[in-house]
Amino acid sequence: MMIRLIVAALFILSTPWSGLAEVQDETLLDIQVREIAKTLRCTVCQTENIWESGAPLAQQMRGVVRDRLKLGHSPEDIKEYFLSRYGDYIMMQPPAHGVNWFLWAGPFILLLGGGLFLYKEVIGWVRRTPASPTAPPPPLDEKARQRLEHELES
Amino acid sequence: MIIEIGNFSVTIALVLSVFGMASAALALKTRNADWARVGRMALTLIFVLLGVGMLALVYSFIVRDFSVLYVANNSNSKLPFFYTVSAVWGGHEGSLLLWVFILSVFSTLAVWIHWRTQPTIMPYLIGVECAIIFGFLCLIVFLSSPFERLLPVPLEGKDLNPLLQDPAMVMHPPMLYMGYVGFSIPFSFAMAALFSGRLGEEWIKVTQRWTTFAWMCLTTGILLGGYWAYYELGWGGYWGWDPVENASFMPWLVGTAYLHSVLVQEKRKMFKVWNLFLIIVTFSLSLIGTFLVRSGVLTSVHSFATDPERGLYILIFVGSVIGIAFGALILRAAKLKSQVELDSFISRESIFLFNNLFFLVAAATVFLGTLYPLILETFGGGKVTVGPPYYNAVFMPIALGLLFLMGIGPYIPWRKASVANLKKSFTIPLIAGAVMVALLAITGIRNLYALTGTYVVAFSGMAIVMDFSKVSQLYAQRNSSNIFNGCLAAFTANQRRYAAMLTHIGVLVLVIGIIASTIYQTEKVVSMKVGDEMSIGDYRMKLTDLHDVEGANWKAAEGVFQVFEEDTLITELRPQKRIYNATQTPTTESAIYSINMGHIFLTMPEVSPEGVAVARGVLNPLILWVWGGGIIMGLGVILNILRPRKREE
Repeated sequence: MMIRLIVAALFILSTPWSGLAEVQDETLLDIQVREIAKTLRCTVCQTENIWESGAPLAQQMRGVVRDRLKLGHSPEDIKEYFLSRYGDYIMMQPPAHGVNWFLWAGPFILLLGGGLFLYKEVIGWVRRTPASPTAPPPPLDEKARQRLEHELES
Repeated sequence: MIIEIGNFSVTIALVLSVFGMASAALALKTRNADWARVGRMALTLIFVLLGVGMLALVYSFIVRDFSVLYVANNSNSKLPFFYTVSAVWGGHEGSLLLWVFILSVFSTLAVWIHWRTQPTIMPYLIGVECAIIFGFLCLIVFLSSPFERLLPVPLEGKDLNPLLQDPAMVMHPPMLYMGYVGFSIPFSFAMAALFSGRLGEEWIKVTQRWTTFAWMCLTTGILLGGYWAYYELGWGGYWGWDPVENASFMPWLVGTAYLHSVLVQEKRKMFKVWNLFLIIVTFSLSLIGTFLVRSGVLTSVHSFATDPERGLYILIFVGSVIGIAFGALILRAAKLKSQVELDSFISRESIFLFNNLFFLVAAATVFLGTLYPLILETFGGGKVTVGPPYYNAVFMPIALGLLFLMGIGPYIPWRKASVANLKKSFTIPLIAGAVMVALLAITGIRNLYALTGTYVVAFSGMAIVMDFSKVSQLYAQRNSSNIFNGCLAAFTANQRRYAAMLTHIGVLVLVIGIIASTIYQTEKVVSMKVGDEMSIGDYRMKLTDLHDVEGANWKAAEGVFQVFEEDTLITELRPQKRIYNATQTPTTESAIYSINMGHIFLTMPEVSPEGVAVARGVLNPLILWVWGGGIIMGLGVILNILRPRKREE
């Protein structure tokens, strides 16, 4: 009886005074849920992840993530779980394997190929351009250029 | 009755567009200017008739005539007046009508403005514009009319999508469409050049202001869309690489390439085919963008199949525009072979070529990312999602390359740059970049994107400042005036150049805003009851009240949060969780406080009946730079358009 009273007293003392603000904060779990939710797609929205989406389904899916984390599943397990149920579609980006390599590498191949092509073309044009006496005079320095421009305008 | 007048006017406009095309053809065949005058009259009448059609639809919305199917689907008796007007372009049918109406305004203006100076071009311009108008009006009249009646008449409308009930969304579609449609003017002039064989620089010079204006509208439209997404969708970001956003970004990227590339043709008479190619691609992407957004193809290939007629028509229409344009280009290509004269690899000309390459690859990346899921699904490759992580990894390096080119391009002379020249222009900017990066590194910033981005921005910014100050000093000396007047003189004497540089500065400011607000965003989500506090960054937020409020067509739970910095109260934020009555759709209304050029952004994604609110606080540092950068860009473009006409033109 005595012990119970002491425990109760301690409990009351340990709770903050009513009227005093209670500072709430994110738990580690909240942060983990967010990290995972940002990588999963809301299946009823247009390319929105389940963290940012306000759809009820996204809310449910966040709940699933939270419950599984609570049960001790690792983020990898949870990802696998969603992958097994929805396929690649559920990830916010296509995995870099198989035909998807085209998507990931395509722009860079284009940039590199285009760059090389342009380089060769430009070099070719430069070579074919006759260095005739009509070729440009050596570039004017800034002062002269300004004066010239000014004269031409006025 | 009114709606029938609208329907009738638009149908007559369709007939007149055929008439316009015919008279344009006759004007070309008979070489009789009277036929061109008839065409001009037809085009002007189309503008008036489509205006009547728009007004009829606006009127039906204002009087809330739910016997009109489109009105019943997109408004409600409780919808505020302001949004009843913007509801006109809240759906597929009405936005197509707005598109073609803007097109008629622009093409009529163009014909009247250029009538005296470009008489030989006019029949082509009238013909091409009437053909595009014809294509759109066929779609509107036969397949997606906003004028259809609904029987039996419902007592109440379904309401406009609550997310669209927002001031930014009122302006976003018209701005975007003015951008898309604006590109139709240089496109038509380009077509005229191709058909007529007058392939000089004339058409580019004539349309330069149109192009710039279109570009400004498109940029503003895109930024307005981002601004809307930022405070209306409530996740604290402004750009999600959503297919709809991408659809407007693609024409912007190619249009920007075109905007730069034409300078080479103006100055050096080179790259004629290339510029024609770019404007054709820009306008084609504008058409594709319009239809992608409205047809629902993007969500799934299946939605295309639910409305096969409309889908098929769109495909044929866009296909024939692209086909005819490219066909003409290929046929003329031989005649267009311009003598390319390049004196050096390091010259303004070749920088412009690489600028174009980067812009095109950027556009191709967005195109690929947007359509990849569709393509894969069509060929049975399963469903995938291409979201922001993809673009962050692939698009960002390309964008950084562009920023770097932006820093060097304007200071590399035409024809040839000497080493001395390069040293003089770029030594200090290179050092400035390094100093900025060192400063950031000292303050503990380690993110590679942030550091590279800062380097490039500091470099480009310094190059602009150096050039302008040097020239200003020269002008000050020459006029023996102070440096302020020197700046003014330098600017007005080279307004086209320095207005463009101002736009470049706007881009740099925007980029800083993007880097800071995406990489250094802080976010926290906490469940709170009245009296609870949460802390985020240097701020504390206390929920002091949670109550219900009611608007014209919605009810909401509103939280009152006091925001403290240390112990001083700085503001009170009131985010809402709204439910719109007619559709029972929930929305989260964010509450925003600006501080130190950044935002404290607060939403309440969930409120439980027991009085527990889930509060989501986001700190977006320097986000005002994103919008500020946009405003500076716009200012630069306006100064460019308003520059006095000089002999060069």
